[in-house]
Amino acid sequence: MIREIVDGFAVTWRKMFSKPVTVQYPEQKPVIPERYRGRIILTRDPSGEERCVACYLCSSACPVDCITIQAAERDDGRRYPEAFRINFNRCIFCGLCAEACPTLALQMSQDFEMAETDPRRLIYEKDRLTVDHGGKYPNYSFWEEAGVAVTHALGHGHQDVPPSDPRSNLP
Amino acid sequence: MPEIVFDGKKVTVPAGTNLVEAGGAAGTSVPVFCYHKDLGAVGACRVCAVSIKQNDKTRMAMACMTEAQDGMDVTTLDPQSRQMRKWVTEWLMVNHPHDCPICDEGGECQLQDLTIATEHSIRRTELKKRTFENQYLGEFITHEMNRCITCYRCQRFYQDYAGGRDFGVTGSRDRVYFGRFEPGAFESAFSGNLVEMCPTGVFTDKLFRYKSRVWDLEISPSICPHCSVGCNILPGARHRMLQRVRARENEAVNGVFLCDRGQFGHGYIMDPARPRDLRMSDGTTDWDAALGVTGGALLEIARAHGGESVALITSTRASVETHFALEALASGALAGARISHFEDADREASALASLSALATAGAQPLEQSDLAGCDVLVIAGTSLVDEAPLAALAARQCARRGGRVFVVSPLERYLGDVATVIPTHPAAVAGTLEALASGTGDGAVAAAGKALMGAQKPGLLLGGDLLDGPALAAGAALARSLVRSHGSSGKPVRFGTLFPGPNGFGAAAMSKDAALAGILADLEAGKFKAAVVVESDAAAWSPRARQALGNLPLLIVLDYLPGILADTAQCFFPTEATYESNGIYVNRAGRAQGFAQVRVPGRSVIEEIRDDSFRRSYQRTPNEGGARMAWWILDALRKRTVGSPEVRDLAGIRDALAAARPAWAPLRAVLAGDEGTVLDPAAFQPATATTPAFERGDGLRVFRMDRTLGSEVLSRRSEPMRKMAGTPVALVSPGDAARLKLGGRVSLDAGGSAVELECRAEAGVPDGVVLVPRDVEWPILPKQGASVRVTAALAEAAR
Repeated sequence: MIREIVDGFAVTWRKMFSKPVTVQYPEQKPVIPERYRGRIILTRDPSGEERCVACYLCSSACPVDCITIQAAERDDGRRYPEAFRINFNRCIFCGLCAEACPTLALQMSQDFEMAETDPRRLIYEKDRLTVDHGGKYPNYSFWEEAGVAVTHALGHGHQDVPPSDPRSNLP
Repeated sequence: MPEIVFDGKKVTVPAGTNLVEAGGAAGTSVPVFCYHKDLGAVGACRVCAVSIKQNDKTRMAMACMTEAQDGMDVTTLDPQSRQMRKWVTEWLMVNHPHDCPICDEGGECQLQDLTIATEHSIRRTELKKRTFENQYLGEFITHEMNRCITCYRCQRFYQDYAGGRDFGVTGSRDRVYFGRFEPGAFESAFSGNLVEMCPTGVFTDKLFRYKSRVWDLEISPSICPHCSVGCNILPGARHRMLQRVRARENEAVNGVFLCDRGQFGHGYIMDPARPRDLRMSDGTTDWDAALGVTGGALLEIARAHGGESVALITSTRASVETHFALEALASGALAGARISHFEDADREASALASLSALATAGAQPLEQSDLAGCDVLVIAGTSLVDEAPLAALAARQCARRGGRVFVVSPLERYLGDVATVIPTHPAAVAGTLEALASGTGDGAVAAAGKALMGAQKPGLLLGGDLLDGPALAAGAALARSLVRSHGSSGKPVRFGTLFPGPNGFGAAAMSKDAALAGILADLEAGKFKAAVVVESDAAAWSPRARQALGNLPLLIVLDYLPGILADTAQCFFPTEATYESNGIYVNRAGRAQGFAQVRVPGRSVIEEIRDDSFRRSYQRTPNEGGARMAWWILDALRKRTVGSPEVRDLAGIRDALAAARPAWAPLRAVLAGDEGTVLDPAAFQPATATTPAFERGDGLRVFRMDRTLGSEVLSRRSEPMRKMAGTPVALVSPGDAARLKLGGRVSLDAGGSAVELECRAEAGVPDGVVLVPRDVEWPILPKQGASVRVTAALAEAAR
């Protein structure tokens, strides 16, 4: 019995002279890994336009149904989210939405400081989700690869040849 | 009956079955792009390759092009077939754009499914993709040719199956292009089916564009409310917004097809002008209080002036349950109330006469599938593609399968290339039908009569609007004589008619006799003190009747469409449209089919998006004011007038109907989504069914008729439908046009009621006939066959 007590206090005595591991958050900021799954953001493509095309894949992949979207069409034919809502009260930060996103619009950021006193503030609309940069993929533009004439003339995307003439019978 | 082994499973299939269908019978779904059970096999896509072991030799063949033979051992699972599918999919994807995220087909795209099933995820080639210019194809369908995999299904449906001439294929090698010669709206009334026919996203629904993913839609089995064929549909809604309508397979009715009116005519549901709130002249907003006030007022009037001072009117777009609930209202203090189940007196008389003809003919019902299966089909007194488009599509299949089709009608604009058209003045149709029965007549009439008598499977389909009483009687007599001559040898004789509205048969079966004309006359004479008008339109009533209705001490209106009735009612109750309610419609062949709720009425979450965000606060009930099923409201009124207990649920009202009228008992077995139950018209013989003959005489006679798009009461409220329908055009014969120098704008004057509209000479229209679309608004609606004076509108203006 006495032996156990002495052993215990010996550990305490030793640790009093070693370096502490506690990080003094929030005065001291922790280092977050690049692939950390923090607050979800909607990024922009190199031209500064919103990347999201409202394909509903993130909302379909979401296991807790915290994403709600409505797609719409802009005058130039661009498909975009008329409304985009993420309910962070429900979000479990699993990252399946970011994995599903085909246009690299939806990404996980390193920010985790989202605490609110009012749960309604945790329901993010498009204005609070959208950021003004391209996140982890600054150079990708879906519309240049898609084969759809929105950001360029038909047949002038990265993967396309100019339109063929269906009236021609030449080989 | 060859017996084959398919993926290790033994099946016996009928001789001539191809291996795709045989695979289906064995529980293997063979992947296909170009094959379609209704379009047949062409072997264009090469994806249905299977390995066949026969006589100790193994070979690879296209399943769609190979008939099952005894002793075949077929498999889709061996490495060779797997590799073949993988290659085929890869080369189909070579030029396919990378646009699945923005493609509306995504989620129900066969190409997408097969690409994933064959385990492709990376594009191996660096080759650039060929592109195409897209065409404007009208307000219903978007064209995105880059997605095409040249399966030719669209062309085979549009040209071969539906008989369209304005869409086809051009180009060579990898430039094969499916489109119109020039951009422009599709001319065919069945273009909407291209959306379903295309295995990928070349043709997509413009009304559904960028609205939802298909897996997010709430879908229920429903019935198309736009004509009497009663096509089975699957409407899809999301966030309380009705977004699209697709065909639901029912071999007895529509197969897998729909017409454009049914597929794209749903705009009235989300119409901003739709009255969505309870409106009482005393300002009551609570449903319970409003029903109490209304019931009390109705009871007071009935007690003071007797039941006969109350008029009850509904229409053919109301469900069977609503029709019955309205009848049930006329008991107790309201006993003796006058009831009509139709909104248009002409059509009421004609529908009752049609039902009487069906009841007395003693023939088999002529369903859609029977139309295509007849070997001789006579269509009389209708421009079928305008009145019941899907019936016309089925009639075309009859001709394609080798049947002979005869059309006795003043106008035929769809079957002309496959049928023998006998242009006939509406007043002369009766005579022609009699000639068919007696075997007299000359030329085409004699040929038709002879063909009918010698037919193995004869069919007779009568129209609604362009037939008078004698013609319906002559049609029934012709059917009876066919039954007599064919019945002894066991050959089935099939006889059908068209009805107005989706529940025309039901409304006629519910009616005891034609009552609307009398009710409207008494209304004008001021004999009524109160009226309950349920889901009806006053467009066909005289201005004096409409005015008298407005002056009634108590007008109760139940409806989901805006209009003069909804505006003038003291008590207006919003009701649920077909897609929002549960009920039963009886189609033209007497098939009772159930429909189930798809969406909740009320404003959609999507309509309320402001500043890039959904609404932040919600109330528990989605409806501002709310809407209820019409029969439920009527039942609640009954409780407050007659004092009987409320029924409250669908099964309850069907039981009550079966108890009150045993002929309706089969309805209790009808479930939404099943094939439907065919009712015997003989059980619903109306008491009186006399329809006068069309006036005969010299001069031009006016006939109102439907047009495929734009004349039907519900679909014409949809904006894209109005654009595609264009302005109504009166049709006259080329002879009359030349004689009277008609063309361009004309003025039609039928006994003081005049309208001005475009006029065109149409080949095939008999002399003396002016065909005017039903959606033309007359000051006073002329009777069918009324004498009309036609003058060029310019001359009128100059004078």
